[in-house]
Amino acid sequence: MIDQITGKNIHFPGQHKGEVVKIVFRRSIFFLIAPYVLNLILLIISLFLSYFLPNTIVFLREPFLGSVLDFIVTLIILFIFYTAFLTWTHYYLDAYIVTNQRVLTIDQIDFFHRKVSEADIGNVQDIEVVAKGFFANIFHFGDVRIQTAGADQRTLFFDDIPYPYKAKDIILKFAEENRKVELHNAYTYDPNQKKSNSESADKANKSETEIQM
Amino acid sequence: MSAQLFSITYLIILLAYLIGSLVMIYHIFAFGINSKIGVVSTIAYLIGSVFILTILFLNLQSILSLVN
Repeated sequence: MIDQITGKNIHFPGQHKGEVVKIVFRRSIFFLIAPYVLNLILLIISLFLSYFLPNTIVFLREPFLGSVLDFIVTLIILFIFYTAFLTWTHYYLDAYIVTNQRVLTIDQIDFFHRKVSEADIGNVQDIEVVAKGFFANIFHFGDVRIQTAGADQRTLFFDDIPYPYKAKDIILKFAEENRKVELHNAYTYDPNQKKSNSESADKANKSETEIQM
Repeated sequence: MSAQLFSITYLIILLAYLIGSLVMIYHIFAFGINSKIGVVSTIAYLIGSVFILTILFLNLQSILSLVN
């Protein structure tokens, strides 16, 4: 499925070191199919007209005008093809990511216009699901509103994702897992371990700068 | 004159299409999450584009042969 991706080899721009992507949600496939149906209707109309018009309008049987008509129809097909890929690109670039550290929403508003919101997954406090309308209930999609607690209190919106109730359970499960890990780390805090970790991090930073130079 | 007009129209369309396509492909590879889907869709798009642009070029050639 394109609208729900899981797996170990998923990477996204701005990913932190040691951050693992748990699941990626996209808008329901319905929002990809609906514009494609419209494109298909346009394509059928243009092909029908290219066949039908020369048979009904006499002066279009002239070779020159017939060739011009073919040129225009091909141009319309090119435009439809471009629009279809544009729709796909916008669909593909909008994503809602849940990692072992954060919850992110990536909204590609337009080309060269991108909005990224994020929150710590451990701070996820309340999740609200809204499935409103005929199509939302028939095709099982809806909005998920994630509210976070703490200093950076905010609400993240996962708009029109498939099976929002299952998505809510998945996010809550990962949030709970993250809280357990953080609690475990807090109780098993070892200053020596921290020191050795920071030393290794310094070494890693040095090696990175050396590579950059 | 008419031949030049059609040729220029084709070149402008080609240029605009190339720029638009490059912008889209850049976004897919720069900001896409699952690169495998990005690669497959881009290849499909490129094949389709070449096919339609070739048909458009053949149409242009038939227009030019009738004009000259």
